[in-house]
Amino acid sequence: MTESDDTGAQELGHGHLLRPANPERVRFLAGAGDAQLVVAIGRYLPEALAEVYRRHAGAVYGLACRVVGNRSDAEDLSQEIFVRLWNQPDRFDPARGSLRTFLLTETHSRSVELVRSRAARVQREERDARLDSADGHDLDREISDFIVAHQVTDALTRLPEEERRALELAYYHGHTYREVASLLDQPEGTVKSRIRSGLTRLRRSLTESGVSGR
Amino acid sequence: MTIPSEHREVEELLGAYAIHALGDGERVVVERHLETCSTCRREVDAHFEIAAALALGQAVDAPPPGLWDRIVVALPPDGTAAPRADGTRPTVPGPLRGWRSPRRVAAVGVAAAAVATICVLAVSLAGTDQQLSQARQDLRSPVAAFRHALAVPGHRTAMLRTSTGTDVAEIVVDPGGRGYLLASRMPVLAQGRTFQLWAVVHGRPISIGLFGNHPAAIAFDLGSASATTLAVTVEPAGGTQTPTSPLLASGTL
Repeated sequence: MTESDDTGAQELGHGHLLRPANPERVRFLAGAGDAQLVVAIGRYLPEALAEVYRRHAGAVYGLACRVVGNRSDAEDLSQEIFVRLWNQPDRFDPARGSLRTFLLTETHSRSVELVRSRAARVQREERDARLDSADGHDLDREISDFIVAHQVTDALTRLPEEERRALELAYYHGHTYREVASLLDQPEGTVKSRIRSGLTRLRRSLTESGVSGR
Repeated sequence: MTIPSEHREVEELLGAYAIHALGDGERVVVERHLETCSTCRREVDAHFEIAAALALGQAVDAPPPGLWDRIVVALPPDGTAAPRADGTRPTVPGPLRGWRSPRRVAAVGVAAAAVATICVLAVSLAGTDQQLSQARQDLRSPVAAFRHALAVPGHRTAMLRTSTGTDVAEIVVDPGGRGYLLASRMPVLAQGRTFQLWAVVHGRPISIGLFGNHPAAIAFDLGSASATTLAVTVEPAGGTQTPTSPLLASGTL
C-alpha cells in the first residue's frame, strides 16, 4: 500500500481510519475457502472477517436469537463470536470441520451459557411454562416456524418422537440432558442415549438428502 | 491409554456434549477423554456438524443493521488482535503472495452485505529460530503452523492454480523445507483416489506426498529438494511413482 491509498481517510471517534476496501483482495476472498479466510484473518486482513461475516452472520444471529430468545442478547453474542474469531483465529482447525460448523458450535455454546445464567433463568422458566401448558403440536409449530430448510425439517420430523423431543429441548432451549430427563419424566440414561442416537439418525438422513457434509 | 470402561461411558455422553447439554463435571470428563481418543473426536466432530445443520435449518434473517459496525468498533484499535491471556499477541504472519503488505490501520462500519474497509498496521516480522521451531512443532493445527511459517523470514509461497486459472490451494515452505498446504477449492474425490503432490526437480517430478481425497490443510516435507515448481495430480489411493494423470494444478515457489 502506498500513502496515496489513504486518500480520503477520515478519523473516527475511536481512532480508526477509514479507507475503501482493497478490491483485489475482496475479489480473492470472495472465492476463498475456509482455511484461506482464517489465515487471512490471522494476518489481520479485515476484508477476510467481512467475508466471513457476509457468509455466516445471518446463521449466527438467527441461532443466537432462537436459543437466547431476544434480539438484544443475540446481537451481543454475535458480536462476541466474530470478535473472538478475529482475536483467536487459530482456534479453528479446518481438519475438524467447516468454518460454519465451528462458528455455529461456538454460537450455540455461548447461547446455552447465557440461557443458563441466572439472568436468563426466569425468562426461560416462563417460556417453558408456556410450552408445558401446550400440547405437543405447539412445539412442532414453534420449531417449524424457524426451520425452513426442507430437508432439516423433514429429517427432524422423521425422527422417533422421543429422540426429537429430547434434541429440541436440549438444542433449541439450552437444557442439559438431566433437565430434559426431568422435564420429560424419563430416565437420564435414556435421554442421554436418545440425544446421541437422534444425532446419528439425523446425520444419516441429512447425508442422504445432501445437507450434511462440508 | 484410555480405559475401555471409561471409553464406553464417555461414548454415551458424546451426543449431549456436542449440543452443550452436559453439566460442567461431565463436560470436563469428556474433554479430557477427547484429548487422547481419536475415535470419540471423530464422532463429536460429526455431531457438531449435524448440530450446525439444525441451526441452519431455521429461518435466517439478515443480521440487524449496525451489527457489523458494532463488531468493527470492538476490534482492537491498532488493527491487530487482542493479547492472549498470557499477555502475548498471536504471531503475525507475512503477506500472501501478490498482496501488498498492510501498513496502516483503518476500520469502517458498512452495510451488512458490504465488505469491510479496515486496513491494518504493518508489523515488522522479526524472524527468529524460535518462530521456525514453533512452526515445525505446531502440527496439531496445520492452519496455525501455516501462519507461523509465513512469519519466518525466507519462507517461500506458491499458489496452486489450474490450467483454467482457478486457485485451488496455497502453499508455504519454510527455509528448512517444511511445507504447509491450505486447500481452498480442491474437489472432493471418490473413495479410492487421492491427491498427490509433486516437486519438479531438474524437469522430473518427485513425489512429495499423498493427502487424501478431501484435504483441508496438510503438512509436508520438501527437504533439500531444489524445487521451484509444485504440482498436484489425482492418483489411485496409495499413490504412484510417477504421475499417471494430467496435472490438476501447479504453482511456482
